[in-house]
Amino acid sequence: MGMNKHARPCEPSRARTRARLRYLFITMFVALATVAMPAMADVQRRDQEETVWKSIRKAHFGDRAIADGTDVVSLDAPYRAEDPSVVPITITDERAGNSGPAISRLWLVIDNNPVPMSARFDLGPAAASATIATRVRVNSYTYMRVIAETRDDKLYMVKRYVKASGGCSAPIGRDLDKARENLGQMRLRTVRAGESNDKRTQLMIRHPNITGLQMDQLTRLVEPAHFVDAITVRKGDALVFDSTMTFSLSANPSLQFSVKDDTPGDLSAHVQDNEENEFEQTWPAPEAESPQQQETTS
Amino acid sequence: MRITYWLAALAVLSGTSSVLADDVPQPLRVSEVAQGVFVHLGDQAEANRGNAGDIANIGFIVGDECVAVIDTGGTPQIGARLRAAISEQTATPVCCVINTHMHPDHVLGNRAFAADDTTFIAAAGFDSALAARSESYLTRMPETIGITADSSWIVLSDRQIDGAAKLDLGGREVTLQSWPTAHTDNDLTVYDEDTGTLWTGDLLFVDRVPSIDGSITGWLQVLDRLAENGTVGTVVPGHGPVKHDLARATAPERRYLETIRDDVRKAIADGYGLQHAVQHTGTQQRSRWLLFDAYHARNVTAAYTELEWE
Repeated sequence: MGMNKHARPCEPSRARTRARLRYLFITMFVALATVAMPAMADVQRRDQEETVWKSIRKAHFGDRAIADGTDVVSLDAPYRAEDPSVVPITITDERAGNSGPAISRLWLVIDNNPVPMSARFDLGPAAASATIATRVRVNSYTYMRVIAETRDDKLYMVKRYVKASGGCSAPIGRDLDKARENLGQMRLRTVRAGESNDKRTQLMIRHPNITGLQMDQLTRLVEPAHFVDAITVRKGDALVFDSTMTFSLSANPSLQFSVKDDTPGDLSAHVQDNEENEFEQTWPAPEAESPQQQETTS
Repeated sequence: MRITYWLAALAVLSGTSSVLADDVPQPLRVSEVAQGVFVHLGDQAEANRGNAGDIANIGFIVGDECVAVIDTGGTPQIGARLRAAISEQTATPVCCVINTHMHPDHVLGNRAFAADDTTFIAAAGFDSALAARSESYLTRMPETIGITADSSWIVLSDRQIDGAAKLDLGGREVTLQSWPTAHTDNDLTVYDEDTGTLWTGDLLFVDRVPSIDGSITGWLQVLDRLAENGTVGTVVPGHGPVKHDLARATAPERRYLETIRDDVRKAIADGYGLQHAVQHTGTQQRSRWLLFDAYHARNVTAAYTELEWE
């Protein structure tokens, strides 16, 4: 670190005038954005979100019937999120271990995010269940929905209201430089499924997952969107899941899922981002299950 | 007796009107905690309509030629009231405003000093951190304190400190020190050599629960390094009462941060997820802190997402 010894504190600075002028332009943006965002009562927001959902529903599911999914899938998310850029959610497969047709596909919709259709997961034969836990950004008070498709081609939906705001335009994280330095670095851990002793697998990926909405107001530049948009996980040759997603996932994306114990082979992950970077890693099948972190050096 | 009441009521009324009038700001209450070192203690609460954003400790140091202001409060009005308090104490001009970090309760009063020939000084990461967040800071103002904020509230630095620097206020020298990422990525402390007074900014919270907007491990390391200065007498925290023993003043915060760090590391090692950690970490600390419920869960989230990559 440099030393500025005995510098005079109080000489006037011309640099400041320039900085202020430049800043004036930047903040005009802010003022406009602020005016355009009148506060809305909860009820109005919820009504409006149903409108958002209707258009998403039409675009993605057409006229297909969507039944109440309470017995098929559940969505766990905090009602009031502490940190809007890291909201932990769990999609639980309620059909796992039941006799009903299994879930083959899941969609995650966050109505009020800039791109509401946030993720899609196609479950494969090596998935022990369709349960997925991840962390998302929430841009404003919103309904969060999970739509599940079962093997008999039926659709089910559950939704939850989440109070959080600013997750997508929140400042680029404190770890941005670190995330860039280690872009695509992955870790695989065995973790507990919620409070139980059941195990899930967690895939962690170093990636800044920049939304494209995070303005650096010094340069007036919006940091271009740069985010993980596809993740495929396999056990041996068998698919665990294939997924696509947007920047609704938090920085350093984390996915928890369940892999069938009896599927032979090593676990591998293939990750792709919207700048066509590809990252691949394989973890040898563990000798014995333990909640220890496994890190590879590849 | 009755006349006294009326007089009191009048005094309150005139006080209120001078708070409202922009041109005649009512001086903030300050106390001289060491010779020439004045502190205004902010309200130990969230910014709200009642305190109008006056929640951080702010103040000034008076030299022979120069007054250095240390943080300016949460609105230009609070900054103007600080200015009024300064002119009650001294005719010496304000030539430096030092910002201890970019959080709004410490810097949104800057504008009140911008018209002067004042040099704004902050740590090297300050400008980019404030610029990236200013939109959300300004947007929140109507909701929290009921005042519409605009871009003129944002005053960036003229001079950036990376490491240590000395300021000569005329017959009085203060040392500025920037730190690696801790409470934020642009923490700056101010040490007045004459009186041994250390302004910690938000590297130290007293009674009010600390908030992590940087790095939990970095913060604990910086606390160790702060303790290396053995000559510190008076300690001015970013929030809470002024203290006179650095080690004792930092002990509760250190315990809080260590508890979170250790509990979260254990949760990660035991395979517990973020949600579990948020629900179970450090809850025994709850009774020791003001505003615990408002910040604790977010602190655990910040710690978890940092420590899981260790």
